[in-house]
Amino acid sequence: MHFEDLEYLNSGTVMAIVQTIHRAKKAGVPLEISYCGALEWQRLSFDPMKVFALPGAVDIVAVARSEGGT
Amino acid sequence: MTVPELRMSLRFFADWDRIELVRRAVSDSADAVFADERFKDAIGMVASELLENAVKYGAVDALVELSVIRSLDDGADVVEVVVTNEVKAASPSVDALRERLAWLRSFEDPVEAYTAALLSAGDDGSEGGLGLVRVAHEGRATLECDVSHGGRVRVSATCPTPPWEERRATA
Repeated sequence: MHFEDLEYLNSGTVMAIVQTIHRAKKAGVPLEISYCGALEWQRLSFDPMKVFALPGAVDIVAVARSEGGT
Repeated sequence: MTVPELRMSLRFFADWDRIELVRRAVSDSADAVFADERFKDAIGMVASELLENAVKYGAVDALVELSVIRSLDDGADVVEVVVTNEVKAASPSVDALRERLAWLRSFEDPVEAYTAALLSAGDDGSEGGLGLVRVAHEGRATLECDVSHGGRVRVSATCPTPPWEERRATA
């Protein structure tokens, strides 16, 4: 899931992302969430989500810019 | 001393579409005054999250007030974002608001509160006051609430402005 081109997300969307992480873990579906590390608001929103990271299963990664996809 | 001023005041029937319009207006206005991308994003988020709470927990079809004002009082350079809305009598959301702010203050660093809020969220997507936590964490804001105005709740977020030397040079 790519969020790096996003201009804004509200707290409801943050919780939807957390919900998606939980569901992916339960279903055993690998999930990668990428965000723009150059944008402070995205760093502040997404960095703490790394508490849910599980290498190979749930990866939350900062990227320089969008690599396409949604 | 003359310094750039930010002073906005709105009273409107807030709904989701209008909140997004206001978020952009607040962000763009802050950008015009402070020329700082980080502050632009942060102050828009602060206004938006407080307005969303007013819509979610406030009285239906009631006007919501928003003010965004730069203050240089007492040597501090801050922008205060204030949202005032009506609530139903004996609304449990008022106590929930007070409890959430008290909980927030129990953390030394707001990022710890944000992380705790993420961890305590159920997998049902329940939000549980995350908006206020984001305001403190991402907006670097100090939050206060005042429910003494008979049926009206006033929530203020006081956000420090970024250092002048880090602002973009203007042409």
